[in-house]
Amino acid sequence: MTVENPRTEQQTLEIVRQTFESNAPLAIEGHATKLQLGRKSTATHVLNLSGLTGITLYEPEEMVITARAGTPLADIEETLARHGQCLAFEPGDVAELWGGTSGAATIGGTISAGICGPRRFSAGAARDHLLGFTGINGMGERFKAGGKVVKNVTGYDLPKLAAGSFGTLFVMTEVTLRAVPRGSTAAYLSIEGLSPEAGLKCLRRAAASPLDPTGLAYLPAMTASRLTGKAHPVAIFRLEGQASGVAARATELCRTLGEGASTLDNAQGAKIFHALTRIAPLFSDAGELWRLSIPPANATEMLAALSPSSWAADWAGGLLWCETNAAQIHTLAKKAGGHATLFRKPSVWPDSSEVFPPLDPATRALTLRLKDAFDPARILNPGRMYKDM
Amino acid sequence: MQILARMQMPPPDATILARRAAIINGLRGLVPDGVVGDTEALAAYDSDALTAYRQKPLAVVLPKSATQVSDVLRFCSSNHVKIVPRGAGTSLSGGALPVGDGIVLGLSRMNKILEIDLENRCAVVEPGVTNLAITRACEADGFYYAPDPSSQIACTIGGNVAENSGGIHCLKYGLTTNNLMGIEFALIDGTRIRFGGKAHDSGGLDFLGLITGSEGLLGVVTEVTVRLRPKPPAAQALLIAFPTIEQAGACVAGIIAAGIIPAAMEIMDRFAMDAIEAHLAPGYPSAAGAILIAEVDGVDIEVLATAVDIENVALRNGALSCQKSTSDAERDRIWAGRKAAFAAAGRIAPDMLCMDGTIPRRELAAVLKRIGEMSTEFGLPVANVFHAGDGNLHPLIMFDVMKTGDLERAEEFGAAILKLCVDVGGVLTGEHGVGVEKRDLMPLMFEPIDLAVQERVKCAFDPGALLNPGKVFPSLSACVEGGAMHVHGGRLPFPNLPRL
Repeated sequence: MTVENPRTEQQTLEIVRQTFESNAPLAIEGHATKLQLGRKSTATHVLNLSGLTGITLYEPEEMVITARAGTPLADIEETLARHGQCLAFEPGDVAELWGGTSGAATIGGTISAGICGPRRFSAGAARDHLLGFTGINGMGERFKAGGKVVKNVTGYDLPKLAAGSFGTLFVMTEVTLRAVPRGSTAAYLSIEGLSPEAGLKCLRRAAASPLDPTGLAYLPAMTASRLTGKAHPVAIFRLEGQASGVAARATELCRTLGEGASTLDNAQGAKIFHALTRIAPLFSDAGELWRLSIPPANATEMLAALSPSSWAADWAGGLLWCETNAAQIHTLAKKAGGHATLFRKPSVWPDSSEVFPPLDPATRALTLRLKDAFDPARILNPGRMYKDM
Repeated sequence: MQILARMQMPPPDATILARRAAIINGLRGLVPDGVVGDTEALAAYDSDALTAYRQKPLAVVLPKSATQVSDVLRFCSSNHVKIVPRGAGTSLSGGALPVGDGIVLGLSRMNKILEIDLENRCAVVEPGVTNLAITRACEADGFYYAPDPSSQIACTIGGNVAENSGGIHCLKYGLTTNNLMGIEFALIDGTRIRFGGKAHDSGGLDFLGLITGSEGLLGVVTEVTVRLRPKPPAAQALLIAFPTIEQAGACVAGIIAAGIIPAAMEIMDRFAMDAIEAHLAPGYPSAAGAILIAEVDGVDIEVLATAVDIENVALRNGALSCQKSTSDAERDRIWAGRKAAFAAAGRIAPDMLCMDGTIPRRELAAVLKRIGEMSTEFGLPVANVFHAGDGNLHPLIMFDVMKTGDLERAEEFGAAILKLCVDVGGVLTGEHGVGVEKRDLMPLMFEPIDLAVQERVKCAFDPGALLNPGKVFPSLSACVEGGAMHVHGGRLPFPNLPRL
């Protein structure tokens, strides 16, 4: 297995072109923090983009930042923070799930995997904040899509397709993202001791309020104890913004939630929500771990069907992380109106089993036609998402 | 750059025209009570809100169900009949302009709200439901649907999906694409697929995101699930006057830099203010070179505090005056002038073109200065109103179609403005779509390879190129034109709709 380490976009272009000509499939990676997420690619050599670094444009007053794909996410977040801004989707940084270290991900990998943190339910996902990109398709052609302004409907919205495509359509070399002002203040509320059903209902009630919460999570006793040291289930609520507004909304939310709701220490609240972007601190370091995206109101039913040994709920119940080896998880998730993705595999995981939600025949046919529109020789991350793709 | 005044559409296929009667018969078998074939009746469908371009379709088919949509697509597909999908026909870019050898597939009869699901904060609706009807159906419960294109009383959600429609609140709440959760989508062969649903994101590749804004070129939306938001309990509007438009622009940058994202920020230049003054007499300060209208929403105390913060930024940037609304009625009055800008401009010129480029805000002053110079060069007046928070310009070019060469010059002027937008790092369209209007300007923004990549996506969905032909991609015609929303004799298409 050879590893190519281009330093420039031009070099990257040459490598993909040669690959297309020699028909030798490529695995695309940045700092390889999420290599174990997804199926195993059948690629025979590696295109490592961690050498393509640098923020090429940042205009705080435009709320737009452009960076090369291999730029560390941490560099981008630090640059934005210096101007009181952040990425609204609170990128997931899940490397520790496979024994890696947090803080090492690249922006290209972050977008390609499209994993979002607690703020996703209110602020949108990575796909909502990717304004444009430069890419190289599977024929070694360099193209651009989208733009560098926050409002644009010119041509197909290929940036949406880029987020979550795991490098299976094209190699992104540069991305342009929308930034947002970072609230100067955060406040946290919690209710301890609620049953999952009651706790999840409280989260949904907060989501339906006009108080604009940016974090709504529930941890059962076992998961909570890893973070709080106390074996009580906890429902937690986050509000962000300018100081006066946050205080007013926190008071109002406390009243909406009723008895049992109280202010949570800021350090403790921040710790819990940070853990929800990293995931690993919530669970033991082994076992099959699934991520389920479902309609929030179906969370209780979903949990009953899966009987997870350990779990956590985010996005007002719309996101469940479950340690479970229940059979037919994809089918159960679909029945609940959502879908499941296997994040941490058991030691034995047959190649025939799906990591990503299985596709019905019509969607599968369309997915393959789209793959062929970008990568007809199927040399980019083959097999990473789906067999034959 | 050679600019021609009229857009060329693909020549009609004579073999299809010759089979017209048989095709209409076949369609009547599928949608018995919903086929319009009568030549006079077809006139009602010969254009959308880009009225400069007109073409009667072969027939109009008005299905009542997703099954009928599939049946019609399957029939058209096997008979090589082209299809132009249409919602309410309010497109400003000619997205629903018919072709002579194809049908218009009108979704307006599929207008049922199927479900309001407050537990999951979403609504499931048929594509012909109007944008505003969704808010009407949930507002009693304290919810609303955020994207608010100015045609929201008439435009359909299916059309919103196809065009990725915007509105004045995009800066804070996003465009249609950021407020969609799922669709049911009919492919050209009639197969229907669901993408997304009531969960926050869809599994697999993001087809929902790809299809949104694809302007009817990939398939037909047969059902839509949208995100509902809790309505903010309070809102306040500020009317701020500045000596110059540069200061108004600097104020917008200052507001963003202060970490404030207002629900809306709109700027009007002196020319637009004069037009509105002549029309409504709102009493704008005569010394003002520009007006900024900002709106903040949220909980009471936060709204009040944010409005004060904005006022302070405005004063630091040389504001002449700052009026803050103290009631909903006053807020409506502040907005009335802005909402009347289009109609007001329509009163001082017989005809008008509305452009829709987006630029980085830092280029605002330079771009407006250049547009002013071009106005002199082309000999046509222009009023500037725009969504300032996201840099989305709507220059209104005034002309008289009865004067020889005026329309051509106006279209040339429009194309020059859009070229300028692209040259400073912006884009051709912020919210109106490419359609036929900006089709031939696409090479200003995209290299041939960029367009080829997009066209291959089109081919993956619609290899026979039957869906909405002649739109978005310039390859079928070598001519370049810069038309826009065309208004004749002060009459707007959809005269009752505010245009923002």
